[in-house]
Amino acid sequence: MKRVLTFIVGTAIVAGAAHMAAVWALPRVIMSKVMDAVAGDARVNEFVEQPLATSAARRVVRPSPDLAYSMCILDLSRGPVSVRVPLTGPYTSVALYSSATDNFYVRNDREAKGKDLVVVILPKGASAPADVPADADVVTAPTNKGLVLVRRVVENPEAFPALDEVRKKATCAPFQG
Amino acid sequence: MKKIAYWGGMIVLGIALGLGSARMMLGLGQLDGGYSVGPWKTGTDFGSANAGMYTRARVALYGLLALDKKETLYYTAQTDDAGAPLSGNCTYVVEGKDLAARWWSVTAYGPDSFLIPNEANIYSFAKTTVKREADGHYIVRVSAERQQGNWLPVKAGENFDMTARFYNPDQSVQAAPGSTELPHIVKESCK
Repeated sequence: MKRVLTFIVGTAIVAGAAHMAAVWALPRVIMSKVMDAVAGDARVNEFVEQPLATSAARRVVRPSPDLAYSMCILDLSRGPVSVRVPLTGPYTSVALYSSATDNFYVRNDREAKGKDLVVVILPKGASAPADVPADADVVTAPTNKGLVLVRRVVENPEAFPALDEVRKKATCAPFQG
Repeated sequence: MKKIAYWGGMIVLGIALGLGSARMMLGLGQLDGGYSVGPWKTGTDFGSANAGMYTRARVALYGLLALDKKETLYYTAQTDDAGAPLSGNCTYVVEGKDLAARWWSVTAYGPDSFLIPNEANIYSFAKTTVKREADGHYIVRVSAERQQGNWLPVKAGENFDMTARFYNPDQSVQAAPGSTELPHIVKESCK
């Protein structure tokens, strides 16, 4: 009888632990797979311009076909990274994600008031370099690995070529004072 | 030997139950985050560091790299106004006004959460692409078959869902996500 009870309780404890571990790990595993897939195209700390999403885009679930995305895989293990993003209408945003999928920073064109969106991203525990540009937001990332995602609304297909020219001017690079 | 079976059985059964229940919990409700407007459902924790463990896992599965509510609100409809699952075998009339945001779009997704292949390469309608009636409101037909006027293609034989995105939603929507206006989804005919 005692053996049966121990079995039931033991199984429940293992089940609870496996349940929590799976739910906890899932976003982290998915994020790391996505980052690996994007990194396959380019080095880290560098923007990659994604083509407009179609039914052939199968990397990230629920892409928006009306947005032009640029991604930069962050690796802060060797120091801060600096991001500069020129704006396009009617909507541009810069969002930073941790390796656990949390969105820890976002700014849009309206908040930038017509100027470039500029962010200097610091690894945890680092202090801001003295020579950060005056127009930059300084943000500390919760994890060394992460992702910068720039979203630009494409008003209609005709608007895309001009918008594409502007987005290629965006930079994501190790901070150099 | 008996001992191995006893403890081994406990571990194997425990892991199976744990993973099975995790899978079930994450499948339930999908992106049902607590607010609804007709068939459209949203939550306000998507993409936020405040998200619970389950919300975060669900977003990773069904809406990775989401933005927070100040930037974007996402509403997803898996049924029509009457509560029936959206089917690619039916034609729906989606009718509404401009959403309360700086910019908005409505996109159809297949059961795998990816865009639905179609020969017209149309995946969405949006503030700047939808054709409007004289009073500014719009009527869109969602169907596997080509339609006159606004057409959002889906795939016959498969269910689908639609996500409405509010970019920079108005203050009123952020404050009360359950009381904004979203388009009606009415079944017109089925094959």
